[in-house]
Amino acid sequence: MAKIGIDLGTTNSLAVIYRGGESVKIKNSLDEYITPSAVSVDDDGKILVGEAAKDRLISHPDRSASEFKRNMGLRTTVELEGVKYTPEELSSLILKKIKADCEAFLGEEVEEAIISVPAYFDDNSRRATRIAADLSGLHVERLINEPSAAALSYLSRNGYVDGTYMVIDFGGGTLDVSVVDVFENIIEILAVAGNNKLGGKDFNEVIARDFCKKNELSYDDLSPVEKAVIYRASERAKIALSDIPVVMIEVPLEKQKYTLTLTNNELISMSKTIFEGIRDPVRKAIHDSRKTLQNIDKVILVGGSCKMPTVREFIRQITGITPDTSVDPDTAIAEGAAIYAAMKNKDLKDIILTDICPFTLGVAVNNDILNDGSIMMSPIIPRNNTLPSSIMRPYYAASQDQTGINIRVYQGENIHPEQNLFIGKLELQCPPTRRGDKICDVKMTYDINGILIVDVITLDGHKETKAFRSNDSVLTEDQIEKIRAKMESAMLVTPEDEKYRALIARAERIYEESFNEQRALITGRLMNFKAAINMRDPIKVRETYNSLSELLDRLEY
Amino acid sequence: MNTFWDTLGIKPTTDIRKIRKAYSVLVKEHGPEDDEEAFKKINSAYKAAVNFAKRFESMNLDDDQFEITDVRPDGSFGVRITGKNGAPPPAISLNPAAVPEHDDNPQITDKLFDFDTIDSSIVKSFSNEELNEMNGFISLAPGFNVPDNKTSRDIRKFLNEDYDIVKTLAQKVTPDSLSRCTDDAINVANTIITSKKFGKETVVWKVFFMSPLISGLYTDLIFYRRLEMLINKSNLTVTRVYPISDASPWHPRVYSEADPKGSDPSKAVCRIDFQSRVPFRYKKGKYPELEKLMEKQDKDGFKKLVSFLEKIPVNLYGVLMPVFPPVYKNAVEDAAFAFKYILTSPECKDMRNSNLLWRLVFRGKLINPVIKKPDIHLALIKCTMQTKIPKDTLKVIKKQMSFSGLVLIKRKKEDKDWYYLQIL
Repeated sequence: MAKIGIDLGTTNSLAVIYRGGESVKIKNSLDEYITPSAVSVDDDGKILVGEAAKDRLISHPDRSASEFKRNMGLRTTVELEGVKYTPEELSSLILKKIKADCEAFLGEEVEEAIISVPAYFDDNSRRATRIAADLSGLHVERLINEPSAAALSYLSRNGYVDGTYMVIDFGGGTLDVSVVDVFENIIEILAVAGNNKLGGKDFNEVIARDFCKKNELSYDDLSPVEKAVIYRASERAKIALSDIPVVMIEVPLEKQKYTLTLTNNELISMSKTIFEGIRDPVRKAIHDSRKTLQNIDKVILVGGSCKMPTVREFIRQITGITPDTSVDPDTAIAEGAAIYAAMKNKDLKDIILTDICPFTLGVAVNNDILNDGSIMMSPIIPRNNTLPSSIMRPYYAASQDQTGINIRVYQGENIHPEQNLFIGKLELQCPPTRRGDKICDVKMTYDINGILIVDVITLDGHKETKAFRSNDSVLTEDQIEKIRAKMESAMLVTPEDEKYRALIARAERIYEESFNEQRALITGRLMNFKAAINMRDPIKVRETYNSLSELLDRLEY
Repeated sequence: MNTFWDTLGIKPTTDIRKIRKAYSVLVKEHGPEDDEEAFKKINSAYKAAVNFAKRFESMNLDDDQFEITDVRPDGSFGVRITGKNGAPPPAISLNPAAVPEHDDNPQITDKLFDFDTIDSSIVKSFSNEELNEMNGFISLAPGFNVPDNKTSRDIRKFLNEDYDIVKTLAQKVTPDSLSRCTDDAINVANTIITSKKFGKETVVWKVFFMSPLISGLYTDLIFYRRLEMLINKSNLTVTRVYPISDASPWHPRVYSEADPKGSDPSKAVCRIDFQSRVPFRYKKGKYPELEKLMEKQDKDGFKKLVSFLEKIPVNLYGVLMPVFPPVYKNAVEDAAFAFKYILTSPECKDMRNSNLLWRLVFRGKLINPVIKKPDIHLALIKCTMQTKIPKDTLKVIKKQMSFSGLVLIKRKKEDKDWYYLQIL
């Protein structure tokens, strides 16, 4: 019975298990550690997940979806081949594949998983993540904040040395910054700040837009396929710039070749707003931790975007500390989640992690200063409070002879409750109270499983309790069954099948990106391969498979 | 009831390592995974102890110099500090709360948040007898002393018994309770303001501002703004506002509005403005809004503007670039103030024709967003009607406000040049 940690990322996902004092990365059915977080519907209606789906983002953008993590908890849907999918459903497909891969790799059932989420995920997004886990059939009791996971992974490799660390997790779609104190084998998360709408993806977009501008194309008027091709080329250019000073982007569109040369300096000047967006959370995290920059001993970078030398340099400049990049940015978070799973189940003793709630929780009250009938936020559990925490506050009657109490619970930092996330409400009766007199106590308890309990205690001793838990699916069992059935019918069959489909997707993607003379080559070998599959001739299939993949390897680099 | 030191099982200390050691032993026994209630208690005791240690850090005290007194039912307590080896107790100097200063936040400047000077200025404002009484006691416990006469007895009764203000003010400020404290602080301020008799006692306000609760809010901008709104909303007269500004360590700007009913100056309604008193000290990168506004502008002119803004006694920058969106009425007041100040005060004589200064005026965060509002026009018109504007200054103003759709029209009166504003 295995207990695993899963990094469910914006672009890539990964599972790790902690066994015998070290973390073991789990290989998927294509023999890779990393599974791209992409979903695509194949021509025959089957659902592809992972590498194949990622390739099909280019060749079949209208039948493929990625980056849905950015929309977790929002009520959006993506339509693929006439079927609408929510981000939760798409994520559950990824989780389902990871679960199947883990079980195949380990040869045993996955009993429990801990999934990492950006610290800046609000309650809705966390709830959505749990729904995705429910749909995929994974048992998930706890989520871990990604920067906390990254810190765990770093510390477990470097032996829990005392000090104050700043962990910057800059992934594909999210940025989290946390400040961590380590002493006596206690890992105390002091503060977290972040931006869940900023990530490496934004660099790709900046490059793609610049490419269009320089080539006098209008980015917004391009077809989805063209957009996807340019976008992919931009991403490759960004990655290449990590190793070489200048790259040339070449994109064939409508028989014409468009090019752009790009240097790191140009990229920096284009991405000013992105860098500005990194600075703010860093500042906020230090401020909230009540430390100064001088107190920070080490800056640790994780997340794919931290591979970019410009990002590293920028962080070195704003913090004055050369950041430590020794952890593998792609796997650190999944490793941390696995270590946390081991800690939770007492496989790893004597290491304690105390985490925090990154948001303020409070209730709406009448604005008693302006007294103009407007409402304002009255925080009860302030942000960055250690979990579990419970805090009680008194409240006072707002109108003469008030007999009812209406508690509206919000999460967020804005003084105007309507700008914050509404979590739920609680109504009760109370004995008539004069205006300005104490009417009740409100106690909020937030535990490490993300369950919020609100107690309202009136003066006559009556107590009303309501639990708001983010693992409380808003879906009923029936609904879950229905959604499962909807996706079950389209799930993939055998690992073989998946392997073939992945190769076809890759061929079609490279076809989109290539010039005419290469396209003829690809078409020839691709058709041979498809014919071989149709004939169900295993020898022929193996031959054509090898010849096609050899060609693709050659064309790609 | 146990204090947080009892929970941790150690004596009061300023040695954070000792506190951490005690905490780590306890937490490994009662981690967040096994025993939530116990963990919560240990964790909050740990935080309170660290905060305590940070507040006393600068005094270099030995552990045996602390003596816990007056343990109250909720676990809060007072601390008496004894002298080393029978010597007289040292003077108290505290970090009001363990909140470090921030050098890259434009709103937080050296002067405003220099805790030492705030503490010593408060200490200076007390008489010797008061200081003797206070020495050795840091918590604003019910025994807090003011001179023993009729007024002070009344005040003490008001603070302690009638409204129990002192207890609220003395409440433990731990890092995790900061945001809740803002509400409490505003409630207390409201109670004092609404008290006819005691609202005008400077000493009551001093107790308010020097209390541990308020000193913990020194870096809380929301707190200033709410306090400011509360005071301004209450339509206080001069005699009620000055005690507040006198007692406040932030020395807010006070300006009066004409008495709405008659001409009695003592009944004029006063407004208070905390934020314009945050002094302007330029450092590269510290004022990104200003830098953005002056991008591509004349470099020397910018240097001149900055040194001018630093030199003048009024924080003109704070007025023109308010931190919070100005309450509408404030915007009119402040705009008129800024206009009049620039046009009439001798300190601004050299800068009156500066393009950059007028650019700051018209494109800053004060006037630009509300320039199309009639009240702003009236204020500007009133101001320009009463003030002679030299010809070359007019040119500069005209140029800088041209983007707003307003036009300055020249009006001749006898042989003087007068100008007024017209809206197009």
